[in-house]
Amino acid sequence: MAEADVSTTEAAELDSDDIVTVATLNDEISAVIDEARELNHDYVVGDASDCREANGHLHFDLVAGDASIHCVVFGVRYKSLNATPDEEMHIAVRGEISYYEAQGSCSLIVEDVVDMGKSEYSQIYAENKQKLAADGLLDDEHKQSLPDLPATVGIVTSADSDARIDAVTAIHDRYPKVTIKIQDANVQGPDALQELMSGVAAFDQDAAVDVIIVTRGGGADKTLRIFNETPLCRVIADTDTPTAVGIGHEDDRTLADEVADYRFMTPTHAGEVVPKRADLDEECSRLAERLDTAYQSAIETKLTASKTALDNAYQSTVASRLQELDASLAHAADRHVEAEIRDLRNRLDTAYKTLEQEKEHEEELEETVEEVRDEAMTEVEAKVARQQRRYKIAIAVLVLVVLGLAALYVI
Amino acid sequence: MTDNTPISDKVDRIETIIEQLEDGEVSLEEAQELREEGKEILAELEATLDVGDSEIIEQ
Repeated sequence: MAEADVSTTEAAELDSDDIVTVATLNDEISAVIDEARELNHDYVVGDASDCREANGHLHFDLVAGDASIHCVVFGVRYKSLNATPDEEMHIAVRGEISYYEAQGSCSLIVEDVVDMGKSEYSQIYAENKQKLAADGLLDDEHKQSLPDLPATVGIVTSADSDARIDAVTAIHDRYPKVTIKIQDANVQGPDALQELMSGVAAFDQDAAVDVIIVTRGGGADKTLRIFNETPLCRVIADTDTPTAVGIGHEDDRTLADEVADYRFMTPTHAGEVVPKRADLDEECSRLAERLDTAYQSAIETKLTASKTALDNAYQSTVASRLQELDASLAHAADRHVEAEIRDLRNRLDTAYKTLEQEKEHEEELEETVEEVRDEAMTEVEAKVARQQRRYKIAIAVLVLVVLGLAALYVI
Repeated sequence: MTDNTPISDKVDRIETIIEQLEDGEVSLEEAQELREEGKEILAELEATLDVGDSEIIEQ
């Protein structure tokens, strides 16, 4: 053992000289482990759990009952192993125990792995799954739909956990006004099973709760095993209220996930049980806008059709009326022309007759004129003759006178 | 449509109304009736969305 650290400030206040720092203690533990040959065994047997790769190395836990130890296979040895550990394997591990002073933790530095068959827990898991499947609890037909919009969500989880904060935040981020009820339940440990089942059952009796969420954050596989227990799975599966379960990390799968009506990956994804309020508001706005547009379009289509029909009817009526008027006009024109022609013909006939009459009259007049002229000529001739006779008589008288006078004169 | 009608059914009904209006095979009276029905369902939807009061109840 190392001597006490005299440099520690606490020494002045504690009633002891045997005081060390964490680093000193870890160094001492490391030294003990290095020297303790009894800790070196050919193989350590257990179930592989939490297998994961990091920085090119394989890490897993070797588990037996409630006991476990961390194991690491360095990259250079990874491909030369007889068997690669996975979650369902019962294995024997050969390696050296190593103490990591910085964190005060022990690990087995694995040199080889021997497959010993199915792990004890994988068999329990398979049996549980088979029982649930036999009762139809894993069938899709057994699952209920989540409500479109739950007004109240019941969450069964550890009240002071990050999972509770994440789930509440995720739900209110998506739908801020949803009411959230929380049933505090241990999610691991001896009381967890009963508290989880009681929480689910209590919410199922609460008429205000529209959907029940069971969730917890990530952890070692063995801490999640409670969610593979058939009593809890049956309570979750048999609720009248729809259930949603999200346990651990993205790649963790439990039977509780499988019997639930909906599985979400992590507490952060619990918001998936409610819709996004912003999306719904946007959808409502979009529908309202489309409804108005469609209505306007329908009305405009109808009005355009009516206007076209009206225009066509008007055009047709006007054209028809114009045709009638045109026909009437043509008919009237024909009648007018005929009347004019008839009138002209009558006037022509009358004029012709008048002319004929005038001609006859003129001929008669000419005849009369001839007759008058003849009569006048006759009368003139008679008059001239009488005048000539008178002249002759006068001349004769005059001659007689002259003769008388000459006779007298001679005498 | 009632208060218990699922939101998806209400949205589907509005979509159907919009399609009927877009088809243009409706009279002016029918268009008016469809529009009023759509508006009523939208109002119901908006009322439906106004649920809860953001309470967090520890039990």
